[in-house]
Amino acid sequence: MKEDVNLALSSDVHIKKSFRKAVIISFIFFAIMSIISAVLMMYNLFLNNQLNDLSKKTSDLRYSINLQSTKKTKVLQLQDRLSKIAEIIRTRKNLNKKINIILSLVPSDGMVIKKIEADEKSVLIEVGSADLSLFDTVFASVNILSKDFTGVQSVDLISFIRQVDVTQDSSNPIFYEMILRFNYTNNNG
Amino acid sequence: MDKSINLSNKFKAYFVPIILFILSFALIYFAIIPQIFSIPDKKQQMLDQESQLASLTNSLNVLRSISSQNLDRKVQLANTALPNNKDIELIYQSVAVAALKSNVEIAAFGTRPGKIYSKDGNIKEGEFETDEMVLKIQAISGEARNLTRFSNEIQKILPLHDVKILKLKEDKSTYEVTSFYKPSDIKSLVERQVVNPLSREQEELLKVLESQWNAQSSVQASLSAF
Repeated sequence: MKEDVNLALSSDVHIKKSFRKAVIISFIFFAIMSIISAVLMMYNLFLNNQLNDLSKKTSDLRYSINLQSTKKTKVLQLQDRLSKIAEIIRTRKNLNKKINIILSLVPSDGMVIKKIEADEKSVLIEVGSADLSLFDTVFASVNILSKDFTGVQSVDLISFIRQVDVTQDSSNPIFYEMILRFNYTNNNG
Repeated sequence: MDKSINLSNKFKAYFVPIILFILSFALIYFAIIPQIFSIPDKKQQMLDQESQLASLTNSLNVLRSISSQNLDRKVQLANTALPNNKDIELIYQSVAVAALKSNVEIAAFGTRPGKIYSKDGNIKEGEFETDEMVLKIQAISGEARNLTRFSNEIQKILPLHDVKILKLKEDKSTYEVTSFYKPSDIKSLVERQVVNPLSREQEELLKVLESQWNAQSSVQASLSAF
């Protein structure tokens, strides 16, 4: 009987101990979770405040910018137009540049330009002179410049004609005419 | 009977810890996890707002630093270089300046006005591309070099032009020239908030356009005097 009573006592003590342990653990766990959630909540509130401040400043700035909307539109219009102008200038075919380079090969004294036909792909030039040596000058210049020509793929000699002027009043009856064609690659400047 | 009362008392004793655990897990599920996940989003939003704020402050400073008078002059210059519409009169005047500067006479001047209305579904709202108008010009001069100079001058005048085809025979030449213009899309410009200062390239371009316009306007003034 004594033994039974002792056994009962030990079981009660064990239950009370484990109950106390469970209460303490659950309370500590709950307290930690509460603290964590409170800290997170405060941090989130702080972030929300910061965000509100920033959005208020942003809307104030938008308002200030809108007060100058005419000026803003003009600046944006100017920038838009300038970027388009730059694009046009960059993509222009520069036909004149090609023609000018080719015309620089033709001596201005003693040689006349009779015809020029120029487009994106080629420049055809017809020149005439009474002095045959001037054609040598042109050929020499073509040879030198063709090495530096950007975009010139080939130069064709289309024709070379020797003409005789039969009229009596002509002091220099022989006249030469030459047609050259400069062919360009597609990606020429 | 005694045994069952004893068992229920035991469970009653564990009621408080069980409730506390349930509340703790509820806190984890409903408060801690959502707040942890919302922090990166909010930080990202803050970064976005800060960068927006910086660009808007910059825009406001840019607007405050530009003088209205100077801006009007620059806009006018840019609109002369690239007009809003097909301004035939302006184009003809500029071609006449090029003719005068290169000592040629304009024998014929024609245009191919092109599209006057489009219901093209491919064009997005607010997208206004540069448009072109083709000009056909016939010029006469006793000197062939003047006729090539004329094509050089056309390339220099404002509004912007591009000589596409040149056919010269003795004292006569024909040119196919593209003249550029661009309709303004004010609606989309008004909606934009960020204004950047003019870049160095844009300032340089304005200087080039200004010098071209100054050279042209003096000749244009003498033309008007006739």
